Amino acid sequence: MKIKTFVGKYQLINWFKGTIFLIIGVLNSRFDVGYNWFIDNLILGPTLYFLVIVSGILLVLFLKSPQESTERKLNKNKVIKIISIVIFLVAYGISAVYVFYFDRNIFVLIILGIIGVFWGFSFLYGNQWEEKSILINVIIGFLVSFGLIYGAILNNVSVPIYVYFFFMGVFTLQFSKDILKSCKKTAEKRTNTEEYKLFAEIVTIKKAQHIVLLLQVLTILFLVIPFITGIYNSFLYLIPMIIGAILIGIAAILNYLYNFEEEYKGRVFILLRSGMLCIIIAYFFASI
Amino acid sequence: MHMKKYIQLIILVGILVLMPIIISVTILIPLDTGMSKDGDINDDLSDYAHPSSYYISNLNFTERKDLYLDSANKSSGLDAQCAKVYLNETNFNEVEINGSIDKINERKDTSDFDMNSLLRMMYLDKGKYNIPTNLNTSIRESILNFKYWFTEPGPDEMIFWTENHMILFHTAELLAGQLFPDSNFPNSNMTGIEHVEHALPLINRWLDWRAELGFAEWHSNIYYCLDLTALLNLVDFAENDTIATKAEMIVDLIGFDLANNYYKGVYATAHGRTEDEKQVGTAITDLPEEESTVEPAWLMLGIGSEEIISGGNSAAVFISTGNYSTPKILEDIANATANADEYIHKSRNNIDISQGPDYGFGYETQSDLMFWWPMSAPAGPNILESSLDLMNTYNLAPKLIFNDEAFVDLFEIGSTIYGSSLNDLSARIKDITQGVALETANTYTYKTPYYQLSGVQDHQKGMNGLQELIWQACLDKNATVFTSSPSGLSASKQQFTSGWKPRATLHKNVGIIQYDRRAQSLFLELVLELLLAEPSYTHAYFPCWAFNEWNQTGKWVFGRRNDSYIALYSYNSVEWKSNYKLRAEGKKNTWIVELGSNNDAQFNSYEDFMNQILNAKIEITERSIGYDIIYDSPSQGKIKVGWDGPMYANNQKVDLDPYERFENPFCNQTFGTMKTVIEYNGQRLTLDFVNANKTTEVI
Repeated sequence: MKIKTFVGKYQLINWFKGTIFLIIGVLNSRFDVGYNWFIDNLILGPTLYFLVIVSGILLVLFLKSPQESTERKLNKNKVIKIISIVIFLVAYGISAVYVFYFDRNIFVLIILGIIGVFWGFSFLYGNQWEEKSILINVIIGFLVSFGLIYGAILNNVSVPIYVYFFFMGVFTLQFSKDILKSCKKTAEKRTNTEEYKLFAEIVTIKKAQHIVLLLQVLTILFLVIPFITGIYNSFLYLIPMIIGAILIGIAAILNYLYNFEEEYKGRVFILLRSGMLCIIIAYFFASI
Repeated sequence: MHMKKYIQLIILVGILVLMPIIISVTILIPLDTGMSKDGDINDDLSDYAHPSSYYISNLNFTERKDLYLDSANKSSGLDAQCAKVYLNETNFNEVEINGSIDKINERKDTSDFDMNSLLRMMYLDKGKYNIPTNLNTSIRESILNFKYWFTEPGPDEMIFWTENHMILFHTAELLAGQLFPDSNFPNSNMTGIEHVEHALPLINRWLDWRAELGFAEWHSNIYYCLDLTALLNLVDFAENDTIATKAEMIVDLIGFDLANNYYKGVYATAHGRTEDEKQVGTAITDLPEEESTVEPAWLMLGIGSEEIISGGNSAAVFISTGNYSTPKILEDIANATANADEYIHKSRNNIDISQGPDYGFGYETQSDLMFWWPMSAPAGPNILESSLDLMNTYNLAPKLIFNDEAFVDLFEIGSTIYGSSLNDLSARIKDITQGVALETANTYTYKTPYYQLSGVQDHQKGMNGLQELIWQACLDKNATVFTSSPSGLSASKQQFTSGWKPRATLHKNVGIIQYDRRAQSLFLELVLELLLAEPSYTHAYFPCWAFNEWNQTGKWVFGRRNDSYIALYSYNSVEWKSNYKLRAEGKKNTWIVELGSNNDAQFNSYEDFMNQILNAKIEITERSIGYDIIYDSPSQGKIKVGWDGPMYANNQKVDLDPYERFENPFCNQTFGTMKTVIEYNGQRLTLDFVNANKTTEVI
């Protein structure tokens, strides 16, 4: 397998993106937290969440993969499932040690437990859902963005309000990116090897574009609101936030103007990807 | 699937599941093995074993003065030259005097110290003419050409604005003006009379601040001595009676502080400003440097022992060559507290920056800043911008105000990064800028004939200080124990007397001291970690060499000094770095101290003390900042305290703060008032600063 294919299939970029957002979550909620506590979270948090992301991406891979014959006792899907569960349990075990030995708040474990239950249901019933691409997109969007809240919770249960907006901003942008991807695949009439309906196929490309537009507007909104709620370094946040908002705004306008049913335009996706980069920078700057 | 595949899968699962757990257990979890370690019995200390009574002088005030004068006459330092003038001697150490004159003429830092000594010599020589003419002329020239306040023109390297410097400069200006009323002072182009008029309100302001709010450099075992030198010059030579009386009453208040907090010859309490040299000794042959307050304390109150007399202490020389006489009631109180079975003293000094407006202080005018700067707050929230303005107006050297001129650049960079004003930046990094400010200090002292535990309660927890000692336990002159958390900002010689301040909470013979600090802005963390190499530990000064025996069991370290005992616990594992440095890794830690003696009903012996402490239940729960701690003390019962909120002893709330100016059996003075009434054993001393009136009466 070529590296590029591997990176694409296993969504390596999302592993790191999610981990970076967790670090940003830890950084943005550290101001009433002891230095040692913060450093512990900065080291252990990303390790922990990285495992959660890997297990989540494997879940996505499981959902995407065509279901093999059940005659074989250990087929490819089962291996993926087992590895995903094992990695998740390792993350859970580490967090249990973290919570009980180091007196971290129990929410660190409870939230992981809720994610675990969600993973479990997805493994059990996800493949039976015809419109599972929605589930897949939600899981990816969640994995990438939830690190912000999880990182913040590692520090303190009372998460600053703007971290929730940060989370919403990333989630909506990631979601819109993934829907756009499905538009691309549908528009280019690519063979869907995964044998499941893509999001754009379910709702039609036109509606998908409308949803993307709505998500982009929401992203811009969620980018601007934290500025009002009082973030730590609003001055440094401002510049990349404005650039990001402009890029996403242009993407939204183009999205409105283009009709992907006729021809898919890759520049919208590129603009959103650049917007995501700006968001990462903005959120990091907000915590300096 | 083949069996081989299954085995591979099981191994994979085993690795994934077990490895992180094994790593967590072996690396992250510190092992508490209950390790025991005992020091040898130290018999060499028997010569140094003295009961409390040893530290009470049998001599009366006049006899002590005479003894000190005699000693000073044999000494060669600058201050001792005052004694020679006083005693009509003529064998002056001219090298020493000329050295001081050169220093003053070059306007080096601390010239004001020397100037006060030279002025005293000149006043004492009035009408005597014992000082040789050439020397007299040189001193006169240096007095006339000196720069008495930073508003005067001319270059200098002098710090004018700490609490002690301020009164030293003002006093020097007043005395110089009085001495040469009609002469022109070339540097200021003012006459002596004009200097007197300039100095008087500034002195009055300083004296009133101390009377109303206590000291900014609270309980300093260095700078109280310098305050005393200035004040005693005022007592003896100020022609303005109000100033002389107020100065005398402030000397009395310092005496009262010393009487309440001295223990076996040590100013055994928290210090707003001190240095490692005064606190840390490495062996019986390398003791801590003598505290600057030791000799005046002995002279004024008879506490300490004659063996400490050097004859070269400025305050002691000034007392012995002057008219000041300690009120007998203060000496009696010093005696009484040294011998009391149990004595508790609470006091408060100074205010917080945020309380300024409540006490009539703003943050902008020069007068406001002259209140804030002496408490090391030039960079404090609301103050920084005004400080920089004043610095620029008078072209003052940043290093002299902020310790290091690099800070001014860092302030500028910081305000650019945050797009904020300098004052907002200061508030943002207040754990540093406000931390170094000597804000409200509620000091608690618990004393028995066997030990003293004293410290400043819940003071600026998690902030970074410059020269503070927050608490100490004292068993005798050398057997003192305290902790600190040195920071990247701590000078190399200030590892025990600066750094991140704990939440120290004391109740009688038990203290719980939590260290933690908030995560700072990345900008500041980078400065601390990369530029200043922030130390990653807290540590205790526990001089094994000063104890007859010491023992360690796990995280507890015990010491016995004669019949007095101490137990010190660290939540993080400890490691001996030397025979006096006990280090615990991590910036977050809890230390618990408990003192005892064979006189305490609950302890039969040192072994019994150790056993009871080792069996005491300790529950420590880590919080995002600080801890929740429950310690079942053998002597005080269940003690509960967290990073915030009250401390409880046996479910009773402990009075941590705010204290009044003085709260003890002899004096109860509301903080912020200007009348101190001290009563003991049929005597009453009234220090009325409103009317500048001091009365001593029998009641």
